[in-house]
Amino acid sequence: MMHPGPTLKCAICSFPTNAVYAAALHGILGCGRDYVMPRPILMAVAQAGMALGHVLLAIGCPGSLYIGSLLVGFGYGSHWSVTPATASELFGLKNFGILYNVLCVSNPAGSLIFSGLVAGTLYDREAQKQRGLKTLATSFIASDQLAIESDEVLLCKGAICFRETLFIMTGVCIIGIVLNLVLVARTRRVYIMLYGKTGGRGSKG
Amino acid sequence: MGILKGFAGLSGAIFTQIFAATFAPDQASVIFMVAVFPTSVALMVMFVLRHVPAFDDGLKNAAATRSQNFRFVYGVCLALAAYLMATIIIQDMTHVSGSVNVAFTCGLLFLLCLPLVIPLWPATGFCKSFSVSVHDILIPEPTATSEKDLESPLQAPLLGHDRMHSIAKGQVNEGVVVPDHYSSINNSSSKQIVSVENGSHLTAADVRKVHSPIHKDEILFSELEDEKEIWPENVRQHRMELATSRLFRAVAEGAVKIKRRKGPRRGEDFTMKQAAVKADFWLLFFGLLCGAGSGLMVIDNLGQISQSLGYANAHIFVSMISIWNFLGRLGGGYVSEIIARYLFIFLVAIRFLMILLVPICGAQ
Repeated sequence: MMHPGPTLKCAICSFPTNAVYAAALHGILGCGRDYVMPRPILMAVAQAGMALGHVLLAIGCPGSLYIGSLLVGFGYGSHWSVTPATASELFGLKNFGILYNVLCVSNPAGSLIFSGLVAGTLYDREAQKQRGLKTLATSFIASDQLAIESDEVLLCKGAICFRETLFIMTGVCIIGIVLNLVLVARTRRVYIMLYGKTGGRGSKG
Repeated sequence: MGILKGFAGLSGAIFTQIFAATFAPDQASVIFMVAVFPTSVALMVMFVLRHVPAFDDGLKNAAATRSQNFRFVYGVCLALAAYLMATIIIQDMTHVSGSVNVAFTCGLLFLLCLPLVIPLWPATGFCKSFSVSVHDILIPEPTATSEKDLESPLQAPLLGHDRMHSIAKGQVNEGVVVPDHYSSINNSSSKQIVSVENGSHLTAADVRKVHSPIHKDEILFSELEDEKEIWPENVRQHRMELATSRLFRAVAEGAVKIKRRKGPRRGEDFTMKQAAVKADFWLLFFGLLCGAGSGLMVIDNLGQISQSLGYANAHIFVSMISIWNFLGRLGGGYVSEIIARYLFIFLVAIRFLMILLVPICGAQ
């Protein structure tokens, strides 16, 4: 078995100066010999971006909806080009159809759980609460207002409606990052064999 | 792969635009359109789609034109995304009339037809080598593009076999008797751990290939392959030779014990059953569930989110996230190709991203 430690560090660091980190990767972490990373690292990066986007949406300050939707849309999109490539590289092309489509089941499943159960429940609860407050306020003024109110569709106003949901989504994204980094650590060897300096065609010194 | 997936994301915005131009008020016709269009396109294309063989004027030339064509399609995709973005913004800013909408849609259809230039190009006789198989890039037919794109990198690990070939031959020439025991190993399984008499353990990954009709004497010691990062080239080569000779000798003397290891290694062809017991598969699955599920939750509820935040026109955000989605698919495929090969460029990209994010973080 291999050690996940160096690769994890490898993925997390990498901000300041290229030269410094290239040297650090070479010397300390030992993953600089072949400049290749498994594809799922991109999924981890995308999920980090999405986590940030979720937080921005949850805060709900002016303009954050634009940036938040950008980050989330971008992150969501890049999943769909990374997954099939990764699946084919790890599990081969012979039964690619069934493998990929089983992986795709996670999409509606995730939608069912997060959109249907979590978001729907929390939104309705918040909307119910807001209506409760409203009817409480209006009931002192006119009693026939109450009948009209209860016919309306449940509507929720303010960033509060989706705040809890979006914070949960941020947590989910962070779990996703961890899962993907574990996958990165496990599959690095495969990718070095596929594209590494000594083994493959993509060579870069 | 990125382009293919990108169009899936972009089609929503395209359909909205066509709908706005043609039968704007009629709700029923849009459902009819969505139901009939894709099916009819698939039926029409079914008879046209084929693999166009590349010209034989040199492999390098064909590869060059192929990448040129690919870049062209990429450029058209980006232009299409930018065009749709501009259209959405203009439609949002001003109330456009029906005729302007029709004009927008004509431009859109023109851009959509632009990639058709590539297969039609050689017919005009300008450039012979343009007729590289582009049909499968053009037409979003998953089996064609995905397999083509993904097959070539997978051939990479087989590169080192020529040397092994010669080594194995040399061993046979030395007079080691191999055949009988050996073929029994080949028939038994794809993966075996062979423990040689003097105690050293070797994993012979592709022993079965040794007697396959195409690569006769090919052996890949995958464990040694894995450790090639640690050893310098000449040491590795020496060890490889040593191991090969030991194995052959051991096989010849009948001293090899075989421990079978079930299933293929990573990177080989799995069946669903074999993949379902692998942790990698479920890591990928749940990673996708976390990422795509939460993203889809936002995309599905974006209308309500923007309403609850007090934006009057929720549809801009829906259209915009559709375009971001497209760009993410396009960029994701491109960037993942790069980082799978060049980590260094990935580091540069991360730094660029950080520089980009600093003002945003500072504004908060």
